[in-house]
Amino acid sequence: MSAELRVERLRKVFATGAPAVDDVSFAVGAGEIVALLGPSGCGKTTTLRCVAGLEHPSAGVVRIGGATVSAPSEGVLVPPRARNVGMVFQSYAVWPHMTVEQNVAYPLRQRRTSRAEIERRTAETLKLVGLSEFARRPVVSLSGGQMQRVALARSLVYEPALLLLDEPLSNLDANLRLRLRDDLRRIIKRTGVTALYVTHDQAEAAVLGDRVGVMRDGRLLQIGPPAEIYNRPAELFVAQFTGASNLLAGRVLDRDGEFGTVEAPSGHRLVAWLPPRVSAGAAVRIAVRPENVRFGADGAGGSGPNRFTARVLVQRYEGAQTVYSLAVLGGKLAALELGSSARYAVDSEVDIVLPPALCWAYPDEEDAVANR
Amino acid sequence: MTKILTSRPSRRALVKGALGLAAAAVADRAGAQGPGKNPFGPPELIEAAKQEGSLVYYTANFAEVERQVIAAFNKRFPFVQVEMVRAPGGQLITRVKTEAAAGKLAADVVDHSDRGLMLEIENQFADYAPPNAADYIADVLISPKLWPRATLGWSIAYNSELVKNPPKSWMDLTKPEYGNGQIGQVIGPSGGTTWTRIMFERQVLGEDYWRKQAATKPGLYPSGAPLSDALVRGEVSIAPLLYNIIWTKKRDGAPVEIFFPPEGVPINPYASGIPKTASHPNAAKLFLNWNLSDEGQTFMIKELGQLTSLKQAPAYPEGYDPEVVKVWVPNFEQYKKLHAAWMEDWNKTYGYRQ
Amino acid sequence: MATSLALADQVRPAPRLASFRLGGWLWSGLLLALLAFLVLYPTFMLLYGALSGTNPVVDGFNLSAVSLDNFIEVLANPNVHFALVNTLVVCGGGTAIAVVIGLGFAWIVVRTNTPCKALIATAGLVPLFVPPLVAGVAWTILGSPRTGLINTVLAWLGTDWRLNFYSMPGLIAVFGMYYAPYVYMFTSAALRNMDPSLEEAAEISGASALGTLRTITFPLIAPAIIAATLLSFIVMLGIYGIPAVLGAPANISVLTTYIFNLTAWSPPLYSTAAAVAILLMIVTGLLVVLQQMVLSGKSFTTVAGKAFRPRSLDLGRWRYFTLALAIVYLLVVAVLPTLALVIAAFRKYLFFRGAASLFDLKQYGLQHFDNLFSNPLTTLSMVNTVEVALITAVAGGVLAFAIGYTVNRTNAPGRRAVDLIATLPVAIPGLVIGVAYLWAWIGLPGGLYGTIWILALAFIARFMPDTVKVLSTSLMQIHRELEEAAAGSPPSARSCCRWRGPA
Repeated sequence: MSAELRVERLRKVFATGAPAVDDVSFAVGAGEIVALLGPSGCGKTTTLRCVAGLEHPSAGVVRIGGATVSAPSEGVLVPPRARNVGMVFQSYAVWPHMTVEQNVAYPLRQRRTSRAEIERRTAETLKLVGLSEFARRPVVSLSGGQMQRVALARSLVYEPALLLLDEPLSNLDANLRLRLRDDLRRIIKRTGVTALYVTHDQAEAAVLGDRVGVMRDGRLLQIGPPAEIYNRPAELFVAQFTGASNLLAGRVLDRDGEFGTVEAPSGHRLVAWLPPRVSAGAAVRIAVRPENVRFGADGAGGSGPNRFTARVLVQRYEGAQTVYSLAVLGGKLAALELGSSARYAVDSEVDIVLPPALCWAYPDEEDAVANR
Repeated sequence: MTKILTSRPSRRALVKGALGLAAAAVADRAGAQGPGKNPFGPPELIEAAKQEGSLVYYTANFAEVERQVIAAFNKRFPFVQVEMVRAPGGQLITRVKTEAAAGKLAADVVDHSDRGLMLEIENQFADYAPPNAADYIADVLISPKLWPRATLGWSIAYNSELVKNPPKSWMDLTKPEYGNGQIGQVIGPSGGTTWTRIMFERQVLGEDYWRKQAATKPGLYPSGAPLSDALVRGEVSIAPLLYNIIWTKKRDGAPVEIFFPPEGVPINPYASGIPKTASHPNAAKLFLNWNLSDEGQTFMIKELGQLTSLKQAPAYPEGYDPEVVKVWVPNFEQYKKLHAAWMEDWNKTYGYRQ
Repeated sequence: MATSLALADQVRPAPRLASFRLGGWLWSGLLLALLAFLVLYPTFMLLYGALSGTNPVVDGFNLSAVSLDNFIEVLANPNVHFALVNTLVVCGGGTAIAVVIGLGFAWIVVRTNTPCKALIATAGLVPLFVPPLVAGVAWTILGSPRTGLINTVLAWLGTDWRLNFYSMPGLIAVFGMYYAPYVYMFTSAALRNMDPSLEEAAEISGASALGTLRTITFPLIAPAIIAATLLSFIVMLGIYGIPAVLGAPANISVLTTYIFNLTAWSPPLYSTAAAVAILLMIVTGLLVVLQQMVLSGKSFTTVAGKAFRPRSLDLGRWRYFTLALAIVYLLVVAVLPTLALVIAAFRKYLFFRGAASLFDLKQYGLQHFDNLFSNPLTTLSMVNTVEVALITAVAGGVLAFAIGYTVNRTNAPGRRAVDLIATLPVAIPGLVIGVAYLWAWIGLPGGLYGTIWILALAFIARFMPDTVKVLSTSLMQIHRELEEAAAGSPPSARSCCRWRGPA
């Protein structure tokens, strides 16, 4: 029942402006969850809607389970109702004039399923999302999180080949979002349905997605397992968007395989990972995640690359963690210390290590986008 | 020479020397007594009116018409500002009654088409008589406080573009050839003037005149103004109308012809009076004196197409041949007494839903 | 407007001004006292007039005169039945047409890619600004069976077709055309404020376009449709101008024209008019209650800080057809009547020998304008109109805002009573309310009577329900969160106002 999704060279141009989706290709294996991550306006929702059939792509091919559902060049355009997909909307989109049960049973009724079957599957699905005791309630009497569970049940009840989720958690408050996030993955995995999940929240993407695709300006920049996206961002934007907020200017002195030596304006040198397109002499910006800045001269004897002494400029105590602003390498560096005790006072000197594998140098011409 | 009609032969309510007086009478008038010298009242009155400087005038007549009257009055007496309040007859009476009961009657002059309704509130009015009181036909005077400032007469008008074979009399309006909505009628209960006409129809033209006339299925209109418009537009082809309403339209070039039918011309004298509570009594007196004077009446006849209740008409409207026209004044007792029952008959006969 | 009649009950705010009980009572007391003076007292006078058969000012109060006789007599009058049946038929038919046109327009404007939508949307509201009497007069000039311009042109074209607007179908058509904007406003707002994903969810769930319309779209905007239906019916019930002009030549009376006739006849029958007016009030009141019942339990809060981009259906070539429909509507409802009025204003006489004489320039002139402007009454009445409008707008607006805010945003004691009383004048026909005000206020000390203030008072009272409801709707549609968010940030008062402005 769950099927593979293939999107090939998808392109969508609206009446005005730049293309919303520009040459996007990816595949989601049967039973896999792929999260599309990106800032608002990056084209992730449009991609999803093209898959659903709610938008008509300008070019490209969409295949679900081997069947072409959308191919403008061949004049193929299967309407949403015939694609056998389920969809969960950001605004829940539960029908306020119906009860929970009626909402969930609606797709089955449209499919002329027998009454007994409708009852059985509705009850089963409501149990799956944990709403059995709310079945007869008017849907408007539920909380936001419960409504979203109704929407999920409604999109799963007919066992679609593909489940599409459009920022399903972004209207919920923070605590609820965390709980439902975990529930969502559990439920989707239990049903085994293929899922495409759109979000602007990188943590959500990392938790939910088997793979994460990062989009910007209509393009899919990188797609891969969350750890790869987090540890080997292919582009500066991906690094930044997933939380590498420190940028240090520098120039590549030499390159050795995947790594190279970079000289900071202060004259210090550090070793960083280089994308293939960067060669010696290039001006770069090095992205470092605050949580990857290691404090102290660890027991290793104080040798090895990328050891520096920094001065604490600002200390922001956040309870479970402390954020420092450090002066180092002729610039500023944010660093994160976990734990409830802050060890470094303002104006103190501190030794830090920037692990080379977690320092990524990108060509300087790639504009950094301060989305966050 | 003078043809007079009575509302009931038995009652001999003769209107002596009514409108249709021969030319000889006009010469007579030159030597008229009293008012000749101060036709609008003594200088003291004029001076007092000047001091008051304004008056509030309630009328049931058309605002357009009364505006011209006021303008003519102001030509003679520019120092009296007249503020007019116009309302349909029924509403005007209610307003006067209500205001009077609350002690807030704002009017200095009340002018109404239905003498019967005015007589009911006669005690609201002060004693008043114009300088030329004696020149007025006694039969139209219903109270020493109320005077026939305006006198309107009925005529028959037709759209000359539409009617090639025009009617010549009231009786012609019962002919089937004018059937099927060609004739327009003002509804009976619209007010005093219409009541006068339908009384005339039944008393003079015959008990079954209404029935025969209603058989032509006339279009019914709430009052004379919309009916005259409808006639000009050709909505209806023929309509009995107050002469003054349609005459001004003809004068201005509308495609209509008007005639006074030979069986008689029902006339309706208005009743105008000065409330006891008037805050500008002298201005009010001056205003009514002028209106009732030869000058005022002449203006209304010549410029507005009205008639007069003066014994000796100072002028005649266009198309009015005193040799031919027979004026009909209703007997006032019957005017009051028959109203309710006859109106019900009329409504029934004409299928009008009251 | 009237949706909120019902809405007021649902979006019951959390206690906000809970702290001041005593102040709340004083405030409600003040509002209630004002409303009692503006609404209850005149209504009581009307009721007394209807039940006693007397003029309470002239005849004085006499409780022994009060009986149901006058009322029963009126109810037994076959002419009243005739007028009542006509009223229900005309308003019912007119409402049906208004719903079809208004709903269609709303759909075209909100949900299709018809060209020139902004123009259609604006122009579709034009009839709202046409006074009923003017509409009626324009349509006699156009649609009179004998001399109407349409028939003149039809005759010129050599057809035997003739239109007769002096008839029930004519009345129904004009009512329907001119009150469609009420339905349009309500349903287009509902369509626009509806989350498009509600329909998308249905389509993805397997519903066809028609199935979605039937099972999702219509049920969701049903409250708006019903509210609009009842509102246009209620508004039509109170319209005098159109049936007065178009119905009179055919002797078709409706309740309003019948009431007017009763007061215009000689002698006038005000008490009967008051009794018929009460009948009209009862019918209207029942409908208002019905509207509240129908809408109860439906949540209407829509503006949740997120703007929807309404779904727009690609009509393909059919979009020119929908554009043509809209143009025809505008032509019929705005262009033709305006043309007719312009011709009437400049033409010396409205007699047309044939279509050719329409273009006879000798027949045109400025005489009507000369008459108008040489008339000092015209200027006086214009000045008065503007003055009254200003006073009404300012004083009425302030009062309506106070009422709307109290009812919708506070838990001041007695706010339900305030709401109910403020709604009452909706049910009183304008013609009769004039008499009620005359009776009620003429006895006031201080010389108010006879000034334009009395007019302003009457207008304030008359239009209070509309103003309150309009403001309430805005107040209600703004989520309290938005207001609270605005209040939490420093420039609270300003942003609060800004929020309310556009809504």
